[in-house]
Amino acid sequence: MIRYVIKRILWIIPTVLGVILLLSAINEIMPGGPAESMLGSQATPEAVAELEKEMGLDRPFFVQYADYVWTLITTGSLGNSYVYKMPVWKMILPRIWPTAVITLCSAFLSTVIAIPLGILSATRHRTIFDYSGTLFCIIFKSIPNFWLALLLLSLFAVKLRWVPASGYSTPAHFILPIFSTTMASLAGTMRMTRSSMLEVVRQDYIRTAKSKGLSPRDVTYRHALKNALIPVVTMIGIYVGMSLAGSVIVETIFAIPGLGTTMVKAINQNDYIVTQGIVTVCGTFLTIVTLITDLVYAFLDPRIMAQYKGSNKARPKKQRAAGKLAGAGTT
Amino acid sequence: MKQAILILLALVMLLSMAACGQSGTQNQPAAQNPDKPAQTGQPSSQTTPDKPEENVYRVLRYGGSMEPANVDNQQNFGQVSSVLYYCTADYLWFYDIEGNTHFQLATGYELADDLSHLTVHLREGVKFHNGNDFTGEDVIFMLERAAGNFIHAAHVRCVDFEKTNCPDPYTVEIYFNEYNASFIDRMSTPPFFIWDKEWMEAATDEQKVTELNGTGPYYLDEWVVGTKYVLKRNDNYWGEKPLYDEVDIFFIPEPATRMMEFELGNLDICEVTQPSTVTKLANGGYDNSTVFVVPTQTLVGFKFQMNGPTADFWPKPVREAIAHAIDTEGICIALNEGSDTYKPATSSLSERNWAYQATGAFEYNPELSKKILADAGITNFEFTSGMYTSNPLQVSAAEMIQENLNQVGITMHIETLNASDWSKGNREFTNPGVLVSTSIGLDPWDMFNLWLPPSTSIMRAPEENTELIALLAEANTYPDEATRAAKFKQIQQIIHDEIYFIPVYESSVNYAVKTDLPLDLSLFDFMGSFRPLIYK
Repeated sequence: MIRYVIKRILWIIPTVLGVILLLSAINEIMPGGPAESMLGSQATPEAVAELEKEMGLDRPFFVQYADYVWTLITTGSLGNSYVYKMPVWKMILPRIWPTAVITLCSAFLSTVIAIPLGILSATRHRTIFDYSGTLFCIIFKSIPNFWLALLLLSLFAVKLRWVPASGYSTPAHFILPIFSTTMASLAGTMRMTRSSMLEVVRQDYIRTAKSKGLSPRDVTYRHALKNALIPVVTMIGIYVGMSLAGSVIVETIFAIPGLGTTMVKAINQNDYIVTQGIVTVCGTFLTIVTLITDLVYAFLDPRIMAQYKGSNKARPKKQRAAGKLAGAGTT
Repeated sequence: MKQAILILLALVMLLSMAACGQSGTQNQPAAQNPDKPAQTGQPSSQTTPDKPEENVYRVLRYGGSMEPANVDNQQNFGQVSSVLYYCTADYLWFYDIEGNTHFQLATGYELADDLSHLTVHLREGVKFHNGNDFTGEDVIFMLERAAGNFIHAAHVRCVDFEKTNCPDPYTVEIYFNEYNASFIDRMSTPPFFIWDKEWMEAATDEQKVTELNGTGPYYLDEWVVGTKYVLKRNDNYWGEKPLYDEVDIFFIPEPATRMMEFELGNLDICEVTQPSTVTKLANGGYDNSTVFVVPTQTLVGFKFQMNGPTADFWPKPVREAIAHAIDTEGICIALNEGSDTYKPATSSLSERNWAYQATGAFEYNPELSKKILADAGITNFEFTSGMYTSNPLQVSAAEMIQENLNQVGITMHIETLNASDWSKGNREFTNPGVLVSTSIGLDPWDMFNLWLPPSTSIMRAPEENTELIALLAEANTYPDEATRAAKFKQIQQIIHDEIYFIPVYESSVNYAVKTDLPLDLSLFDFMGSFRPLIYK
C-alpha cells in the first residue's frame, strides 16, 4: 500500500509536466501575446518583436518549455510575471490561501452536511423529508452561485449587517463566500448520496442483513453506506476541482484576491507566465485530490485495497511464469 | 420529524421578517479598518464650512473598480490609477475640468517666438517622499522615459521633442522636432507625472511597478494586493496640505458589492457604472447619499477603417446607410435606465470640447437607409466588427446597433477581442467598423492625431482626402487656440460629410458620494478622475 502511495505521488511529476506542456502549446497556438498587450495598439511590429526578444518569447516552443521546466525543477521558480515584473511565486502565494480556505471549507461543509442528509433522504424514501430534500437540491442546483452570492450579500451584509460585505481580513469575511460556494455542491452531493444509497439498500445482501435481525443503524452504516459512498467520493473530488476553478465569480463578488481573480487578470493581460504558474499549482493540487480520492476508495472498499496491495505481487507471478518457460528450455 | 419541520419553517419566517424589517443605513466604522476612528461630519459645499476638529484622524475611503496591474504610470492610467497618482505625485501644471491652468512643479513656461522650444521654470525647494530634491533632471528623465518607452500612447504623445536641456537645476528647455501645439496640454496627462530620477534608476524592476516616490500630498504607505492602496499624508508637501490624514483606495470590481459597501457606510465615495444605480441615487434611494456627475469628454462612436486591405467600407452609400440606421436616441434611452448618463453625440468631438463643431447627428431613418442601399445596388451587406471593451453597457449598445442594422438589411457580426488581438487587428487593419470609446484630453489633437498618416491606427484618414490630411497636419502647428479651433471645426465637418465617423453617444462619469463630503468639480480632472485633495 505504501509503495502504491509513493508510486502515485511520483506520478504527480509527469502529470504536472504534461499539464504545463499542454498549456504552453495552447498559449503558443493562440493569437496575440503579452508583448502586444503591453505595448498597445500603437506599437509597431518592430517594437513588438524587440520586446518579445527581450522576454525570450521568440525562442522555439520546445526551448521555452524545456527552459521553464528545467528552471522549475532545479530552482522551484515559476518565472517572473511579464506585467508585475516579480516572481510568480511571490504573486500567487498570498492568493492561494483565500481560495484554499473557500474551496476546502466548502468541500468539508458540503460533505458533512450532504452525506447525512442524503442518507436520511434515502432511508426515509418518499416521505416529506425526502421530498423537501429533493426540492432543496433542485433549488440550489438551479440557482447560479453569483446570484446566490448577491442575494446573501443583500440580506446578511446589508439588511441584517451580520457579516461584512467584502474583503478577507477576518474569518467573518469568509462566511458568505463559503456559503455560496457550498450550496451547489451540497445539493449535488446530497442527491448523489441519496440515489446511491437507494441503489445499495435494494441489494440482496442488505435484505439478508435485515433478515438476520441487524438494527437499521447497523444495516445502514455498517453495510450500505460504504458501498454507497464510492460514487459520492468521486463527486466530491470533482467538486473540489470545480470550486477551485470556479472560484473567480465568488472572489470577484466578495472582492477577495484569490487564485481565480488572479488567473482571469493574467489571462486578460496575456501574462502567460502567471497563468502557467497558477495552472501548475492547481494541477498539482488536483492530482493530490485525485490521489486522496483513490485512497479513500481503498478505505471504503477492501477489494480496491487488495488490488492496490496485489499490484505488487503481479510481478513475481510473471517472473515465475517466465522462469518456468526458461526452465523448460534448459532441461 | 413534523415538529422539526415546523420549527424550521418558523425560523425561516422569523428570518424573513427580520430581513424585511431592516431599513436605512448608518455610517459604521469600516470592517476592513478597525483602527479607523469616527469620521467627522464634513459640511457640504452648499453650507458654510465649520472649522475642522483638531486631533482627529481623518480617512477618506474611495471605492474603485479594477485593481491596476501595477503602479507604473506609463502603463496604467485608468480611474483607480489616476486617483493614486494624483495623491502621490504632481504634474508640471495641471488643467482642471474647466480648462484653467494650475501650476504645480512648474511656476511658468515660455514658448520661443520661432516655436522651436519651450522653456519651463520649475518650483524650488520641492522634495520627493524620500527626501531627494526635485530638479530639472527629474523632468528630463520623465520625458525621456516616456519617449524611449514604447508603452501605449505615452510614446505616441511624446515623440515630438528632439532634445532637452537643463541650463540650471530649475530650468528645463524642451526642443521640438516640429512644433506641437498639444504638447503643453499633454504634460497634464497621466504618463507625465513626475517621479524621482535617482530613485527610479536605483530601483529594481519590481520596485518600479510596486512602489512610488513622488512629490505628492500623500505617499503610498502600503499596497494590500487585491484589496486597497493605503496612502498617508505627506507632511513635507510643498503645497497646501489636504484635510485627510489617510486615503484608502479600495478595489471592488463587482459594482453591486461596491454599492453595498457604500450603503453600509464603508466608503465615502465610489465609482458608479450602472445607470440604474445613478437613478436610484438621484431619487434618494440611498440614505445621506447622492450622485455626483462629472461631465467628461468621453464619446462612443462608430469608426471605419479607411486604409487597409478591407475594401468593403470604401463605398460611401454603405457608410451613409449605417449612419441613418442607428437610433442613437433609442440607444441612449435604453442605456440610461432613467438617468442622464448618456446622450446622443453630435460630432466627432464631445460637446464639451473647446473646438467642438455641431455637425449635427445623422437622422434616424431606416427607410432612407434601405433606399440608399437599393439605389447603390447593395444587398445583404455583411461585416464583422471587432470590438474591444470590458464595458457591458458598450456591448449592449453594440447589440442594439446590430439590431438597427439588421432592420435595413445590413448584418454586423460582433467579435469581442482581448487587448492583444484588438491591438494586432488595429495594426494589421483587420478590424473594420469598430465601435469605440474615445476619451480625450482637453486638446482635440488627442482625438485627431490618430487620423494623420502615417498613423498605424485604423482611424487613419483616407489617403485620397488630401484636404483632410492637410488640415490635420496644420491643426497642431499653430500656437493660438482660435486658429486651431477653426481648423478642428473644418475637420469635424469633413468627417461628418464624408461619414468617416458616426458619433453615437457621449457619457459622463458618475460617483456615489456621501452628502456631507465637500465635493466640487475642481476635485475632478477632465477625464472624470477623482483627485482626493479636499482641503476643508
